[in-house]
Amino acid sequence: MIPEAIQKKEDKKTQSVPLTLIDYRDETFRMSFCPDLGALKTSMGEIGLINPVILRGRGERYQIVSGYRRVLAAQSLEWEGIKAALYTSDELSHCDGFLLSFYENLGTRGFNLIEASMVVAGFFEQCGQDEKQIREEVLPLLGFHSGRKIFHALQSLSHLSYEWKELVIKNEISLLNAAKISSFSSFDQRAFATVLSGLKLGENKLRESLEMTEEICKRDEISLSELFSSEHFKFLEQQGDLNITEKTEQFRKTLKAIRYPEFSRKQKKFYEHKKKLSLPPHISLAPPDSFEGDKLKITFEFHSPEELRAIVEKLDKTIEKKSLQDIFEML
Amino acid sequence: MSSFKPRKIYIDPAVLDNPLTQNILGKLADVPQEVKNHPEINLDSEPDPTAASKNIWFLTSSSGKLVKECPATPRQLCCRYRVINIITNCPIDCSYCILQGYINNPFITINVNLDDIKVQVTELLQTDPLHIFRFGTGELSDSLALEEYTGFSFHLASFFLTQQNGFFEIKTKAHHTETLLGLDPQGRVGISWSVNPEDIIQKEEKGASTLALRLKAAARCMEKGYLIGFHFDPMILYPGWEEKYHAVVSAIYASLKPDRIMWISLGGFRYPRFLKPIIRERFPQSKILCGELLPGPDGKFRYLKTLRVEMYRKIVDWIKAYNPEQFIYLCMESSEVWEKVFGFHPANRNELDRLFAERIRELWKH
Repeated sequence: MIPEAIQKKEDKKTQSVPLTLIDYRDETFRMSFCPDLGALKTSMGEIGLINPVILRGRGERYQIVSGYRRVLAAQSLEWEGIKAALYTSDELSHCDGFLLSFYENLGTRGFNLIEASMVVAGFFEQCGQDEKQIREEVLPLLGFHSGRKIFHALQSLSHLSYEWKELVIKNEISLLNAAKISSFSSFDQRAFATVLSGLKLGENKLRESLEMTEEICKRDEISLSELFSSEHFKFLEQQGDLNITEKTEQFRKTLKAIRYPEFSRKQKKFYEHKKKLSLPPHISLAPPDSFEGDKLKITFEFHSPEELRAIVEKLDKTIEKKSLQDIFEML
Repeated sequence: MSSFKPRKIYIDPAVLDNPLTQNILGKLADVPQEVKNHPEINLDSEPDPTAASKNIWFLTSSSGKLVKECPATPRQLCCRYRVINIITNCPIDCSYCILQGYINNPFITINVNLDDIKVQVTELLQTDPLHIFRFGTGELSDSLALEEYTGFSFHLASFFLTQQNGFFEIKTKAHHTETLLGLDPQGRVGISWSVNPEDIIQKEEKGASTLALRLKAAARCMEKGYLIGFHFDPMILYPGWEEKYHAVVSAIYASLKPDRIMWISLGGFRYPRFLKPIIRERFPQSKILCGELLPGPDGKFRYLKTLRVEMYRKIVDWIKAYNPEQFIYLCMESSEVWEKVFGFHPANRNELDRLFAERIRELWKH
């Protein structure tokens, strides 16, 4: 399974290669995505390169097989050359190079989601492996189970814009949410990134928002950009009125009102009638869940018999109010 | 020929000599066949394993109970229909089908032990000879989709004709009624079609017959002496639904005699939570999940009650305009919704069952 070239890697002598001879734009074997080189630069600046990079000759120049970030850090540190193990293109096929890079990386670090997606794409494109092989042999190595859904989600991440790839890593967005975002057009991805930049949505709320957004767009046959540029979401552009938590809540409420218009109207009507009952804050009146059923629920707390008597008297008066009748009629 | 011809048939050695098995295999001699106890099939590499499972058949027999009460939803009024699980898994691929989340075998299971089923039915009928029990095979599969190969509905209909207190309702979205037309049902056997507007059929009921074919088959069966039913289930709310469903009602009454339509049921689209991701994955173009579907006390998602009631009231009005006496019922709805739609509700499932029995007796008299 492991190619001979990789087995012989230990025997490879290393030598310093001028950075100008390395084609860092060639991403054939790249499986690293971590825009922040800060820590690596500090480390290489302090103690130099510990693990030589692996290069493959291609014409007059070299492709990076393993060590993409190290080459970028070296460039940034203005090194002239970098220590490397060199292979000729005859010694190392595309697939072998990819495998060498994969196992080298696997042994030294973990892969983030975007990198895992690059690995899957590499096994597919460079090594010609099929879905079944990748699911059964590669996904477990990446820390995933071998399900079809996971495989397709990882594959889909290649459609994410660079901005979203960064956001996925930075905000630790889950694979399934990221996959959903990757299904948007690049224009919509940008619009959604702008919307989210002013909000604070955890994983579950993001998933819920994504689902509602998708369903509204499908139902109304509009794009995501059209939805978020509508009047309903003007508050997102306004500065200062709402803090981030309030804005987030407003965002979710607005989305829900568009997604479930009849339910929201009903809810609004219920609260209007409820308000007219003038119940004190410690008595709560709730409609049946999803307005399914015809029973109201009332809850209250009290500290003393006197307090209970006062509540009972209040409720007794409430029974006669027209608004209570109105509530029953709307159920 | 129907489009539901399998790609492969596995045969349990225990049923190889069964005449029903031989009959099926004889009709499908060109399909690869393999005798195997427990077929081990891995459809994981298929792009859509659920769809692929519909092309493989396993002919076997079940020693368990195949005649059961309909798995009713808690808190909803159930009509006490008895289900005969002779075939499990359905060759029709409806986007909303709950079987997608239930079936865990990668094939269509066809139980050929019809004699055991007849024994189980007979035993149940004998428990209360004065009661009319209703049975059907349309719970875990379509009753007619594979009929041209199996002939099961024909066999069961013939059997029920000899029973005094058993009523057999064949439920389908197909139009393969040829075998049944060879039987004289004596006005005692029912065939019912699940109906939807044609655009919903095209988008959401992959493999099912068109509405026109279903109605044509219904008219032929009615002429032959079958009682005919219709199930507006699941009804889908979408822009223009009123016009579309009204047209379906009109089409029904334009081609069938109102007094031989035994009943019409109504049921809004509903789904358990686990079905949503399956529909999203298998039918990404479908819009059925975009309605105002909210979780109810039984955990199933349904259209908001106000919307359902409005939808049912309208369709009831359209139906009653053609036949004011039409027997209409709601499938899996609460007493409260019944009350809002019809102004009454059966006290419990036994009363609903009694109403069905009355209706059947009335139809059997004529």
